[in-house]
Amino acid sequence: MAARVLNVGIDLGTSRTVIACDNGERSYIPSYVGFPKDAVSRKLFGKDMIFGEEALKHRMALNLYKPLEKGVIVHSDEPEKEAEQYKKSLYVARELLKHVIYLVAGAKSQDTIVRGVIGAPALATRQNKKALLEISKGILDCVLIASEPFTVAYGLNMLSNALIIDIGAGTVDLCRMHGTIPSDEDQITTFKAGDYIDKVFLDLVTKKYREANLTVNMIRKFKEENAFVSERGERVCIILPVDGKPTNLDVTDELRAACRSIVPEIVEAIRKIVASFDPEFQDGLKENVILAGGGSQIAGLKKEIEAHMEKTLGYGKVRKVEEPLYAGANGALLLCKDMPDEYWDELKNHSPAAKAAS
Amino acid sequence: MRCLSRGLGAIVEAGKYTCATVEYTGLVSYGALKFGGRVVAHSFRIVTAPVARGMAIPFVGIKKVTLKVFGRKNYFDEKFESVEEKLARIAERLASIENRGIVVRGTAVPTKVPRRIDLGRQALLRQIVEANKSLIDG
Repeated sequence: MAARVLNVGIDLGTSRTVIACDNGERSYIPSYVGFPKDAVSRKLFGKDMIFGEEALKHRMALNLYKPLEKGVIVHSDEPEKEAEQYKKSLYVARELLKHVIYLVAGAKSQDTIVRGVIGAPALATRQNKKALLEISKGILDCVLIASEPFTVAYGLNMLSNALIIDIGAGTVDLCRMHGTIPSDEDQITTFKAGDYIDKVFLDLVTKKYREANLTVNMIRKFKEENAFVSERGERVCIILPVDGKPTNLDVTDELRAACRSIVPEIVEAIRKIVASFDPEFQDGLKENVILAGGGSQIAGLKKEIEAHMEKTLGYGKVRKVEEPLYAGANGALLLCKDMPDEYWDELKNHSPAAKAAS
Repeated sequence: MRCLSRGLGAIVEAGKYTCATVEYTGLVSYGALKFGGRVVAHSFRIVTAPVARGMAIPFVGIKKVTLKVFGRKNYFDEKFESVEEKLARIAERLASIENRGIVVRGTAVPTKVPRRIDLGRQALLRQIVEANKSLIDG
């Protein structure tokens, strides 16, 4: 009997891990893994590992781990420096990957082959990518690593004359597409992304309302629902405990300032990436700027970038993808599906394990 | 004769005085009328201007609304166009997803469809494979 093949596209993000499978299932969870702190909490949960939203909800009873930072596995830049912690990060990331695959594909059976494409930040190092290969061993039968903005472009079928901006929690990845695999010169990664907004917002709110009690999680949740950069619009208020009493606090200006803090770097990166492109094709690039990732949902960001582009580059048309959360995973899935079987076999036979066996 | 001429002179003088009197009276009346008219007009303006302005407010409002509805026709056109574009893109993506045999949630196992990948895309996929092979080697 022929083996059943399942294809998955995975976006292992700093904030969320997103997966799309060709059996029609897709899912996402916050990239958190929790381990019960003691025997009592282990008894309470009835399991040794808690993932995603559930882990966040019960974080007081758990040792909470976030295996990804700035889009890559923690300590994967210099694994030798923090060997023990790197090992732990790999283990946690591996469990996270196993869990999301289980969510869409169920328990793996012997006659099922799972192939996957995992997205990595645009300028992830070789070490970062190898860490992704490492965690997928034994979970995915075949695996490919692809640049995250490239997978977004692939999913949208915009492989030529397009500039993809993937605004995540840890990084903002910019990638110009011109019909080939983007090289390092075609990509820019900046680190002022969603997490940076949270930090600035937290600082500003703490400065304004010194008496309020708040955490970065509360701030993040509020930001995800209300983020905006435009001048006009309603005032936004957050309910925060002040001396234990829930109090309505106006944070309109603080939220706007925090969201705006990432814009200058993005527009500067756009300017660089357009200005260094072949002048004959620059107009095409300016015409097709695509915003993806959770950060693309900031109200007014599209207009703000267009206005900056008009100032610095003379013109610019920006649009948002329809499904910002799933854009990367969807693209990775399509890439996975398009890859011919012989290419997968070639890759499988190239792995050290296969080489050793042969 | 002398008496007669004196009489005539007196009549002429009297006539002249009469004329001057009438003329002066006319001028005075004109001046009074003009001044009165000005005062009335000014007062009228003071009284009526706010009233007229007040009466015009609803019409200005109507004009603004009308402009909003009809004058910003382009805005709606743009919105419709962008929605149409989005729908077209979604339809295109759905077609491409179906072509690849990705199934909708809840339906049976993913179907195996014959791949129709053009040479350009094959070359692109080959490049990705090579990059990954060098990653495994490195």
